[in-house]
Amino acid sequence: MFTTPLKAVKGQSEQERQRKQAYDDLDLLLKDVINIRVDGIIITDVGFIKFVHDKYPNIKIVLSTCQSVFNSYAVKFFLEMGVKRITFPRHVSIKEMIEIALKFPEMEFECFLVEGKCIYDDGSCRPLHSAGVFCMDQWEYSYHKDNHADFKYNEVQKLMQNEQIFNYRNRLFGGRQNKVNNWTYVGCGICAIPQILKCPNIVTLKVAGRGYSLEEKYSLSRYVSRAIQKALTGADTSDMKMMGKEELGMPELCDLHRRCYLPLDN
Amino acid sequence: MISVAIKIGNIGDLRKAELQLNDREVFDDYDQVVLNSHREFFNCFTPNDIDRIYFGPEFCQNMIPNIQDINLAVEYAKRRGFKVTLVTPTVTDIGIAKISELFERADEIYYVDEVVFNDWGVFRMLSEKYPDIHYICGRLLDKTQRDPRINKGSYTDFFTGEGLLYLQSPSLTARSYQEVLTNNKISRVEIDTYPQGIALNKESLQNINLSLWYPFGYVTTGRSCIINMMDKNESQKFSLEPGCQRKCRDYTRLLYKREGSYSSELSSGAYDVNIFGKGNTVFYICKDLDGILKGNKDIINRLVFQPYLSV
Repeated sequence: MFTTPLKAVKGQSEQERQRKQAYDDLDLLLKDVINIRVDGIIITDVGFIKFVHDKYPNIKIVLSTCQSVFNSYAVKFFLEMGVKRITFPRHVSIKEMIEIALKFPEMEFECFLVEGKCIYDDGSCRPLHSAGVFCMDQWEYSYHKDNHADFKYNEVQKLMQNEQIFNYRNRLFGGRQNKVNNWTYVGCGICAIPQILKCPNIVTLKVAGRGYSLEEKYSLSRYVSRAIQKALTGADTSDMKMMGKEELGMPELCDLHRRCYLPLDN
Repeated sequence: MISVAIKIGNIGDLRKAELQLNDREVFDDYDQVVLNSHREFFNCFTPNDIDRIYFGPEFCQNMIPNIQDINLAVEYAKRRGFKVTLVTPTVTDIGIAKISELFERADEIYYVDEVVFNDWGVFRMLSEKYPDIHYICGRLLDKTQRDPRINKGSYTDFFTGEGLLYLQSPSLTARSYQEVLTNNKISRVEIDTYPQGIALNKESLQNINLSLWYPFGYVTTGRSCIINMMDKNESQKFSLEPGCQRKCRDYTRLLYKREGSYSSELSSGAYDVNIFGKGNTVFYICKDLDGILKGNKDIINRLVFQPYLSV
């Protein structure tokens, strides 16, 4: 399936002109992509979803992860808007995904499987990536206690340790170099594949490759492809975990759940 | 005429709705920011201008109030003559069930005449069952980018005129977006004061009412909460297991860096970028309420004043 993502459409008036211009420009783009027979369009903005659904009812609308669908009623809302496939946000557990997907056999779903482990939810993250990745930024920090009580030593130690683990979720080393034993340091969710395969309408497992080289994208895609093949032969979660440990190295990262991409369930 | 609402995150903060400009002790930068924002508020409004409380979390379903809290908040509001807006966060199906229960079982819930939703699923669930309530599209659904690491002057350095206008205007100015709102009988939308400024006018809003939050704008949020994970062992820190001790009520994070880090190697040494973390959410601070109100007087008809940080 080939889809093309379209940015959220905003118009800024001077006053109506630019807004209309933005939609007109996107409409021209839509006509082009429909002519080359893309299978679907990934959209975030609810206004643009309506526009596309009204004007091009035959094109498949895929809801972007940036709309942060975490619950069944949100699926209903977007189903009623004409969306045919939903991309789960990153911070959804395997159990939650499967429960939601099974309730809506008429809707297709996608989920990310291998990618950088965003600390924050993509759909709710507003800083400009071009100004530097916010969650990897270097901050000095301190804490305020709302009751103004004195800090205890153990308390400070716990806060500092917690900050370190939180801030280093998406990197292993202190710097921005994210390669470990020549693998890009990404979150991995292949352990979830056997469960996901039981859900027929989770139709796509995504490898988020933005910012990676072509070679890295290829390696990661090949890794996931092999994992899917292994799961199709009947491998269970522990088999998949073993595969991850052997291929990506540093098995401790799997044992400590440091590498896990799909959040843990109960 | 701008109406004023005051945001109360949880029941323990109700007393903080009794806004007074006392000489508060300032222990740290957060206290200073709070004091400054209260001063700015009192320069523009009096406590008598407040006619509504916003009660409930925007960013975390673990902070959804229970039935008792809702009843207490409404009783307080009635005594003070305030109206009540229930604020709701992004939720999973667990949160949907919690919110649904409030409406089914809280005796005083009838008094809530507005609900702010930050999740289209919450809207879908509630509007079907309770169509007479006014639904407000919360600021989390405004996907306009904003980056407090860049100062307002630097925005004009980095972006062209058209690019800056794009960043200054929310999606709600698009006609299709407004049709979605109108079709769903939503007539009010909430936004933050963007660090890059806001460029809106009455014509672009059509009949949409606009609320502005002040002084804390949100930067980013998610389900991983640095405070909730504090007491968990390392392998469980990013688990999404339900349950939380709500320690975000006790702590606020202060994050610092030098302004202009991205535009210049030179630095005065001052830490100009103050960002705050509360629970799972990171916020920035806006200043100059008077200037903001004057610059946007034709488009804002409600100010939501957040006297203290809460999720």
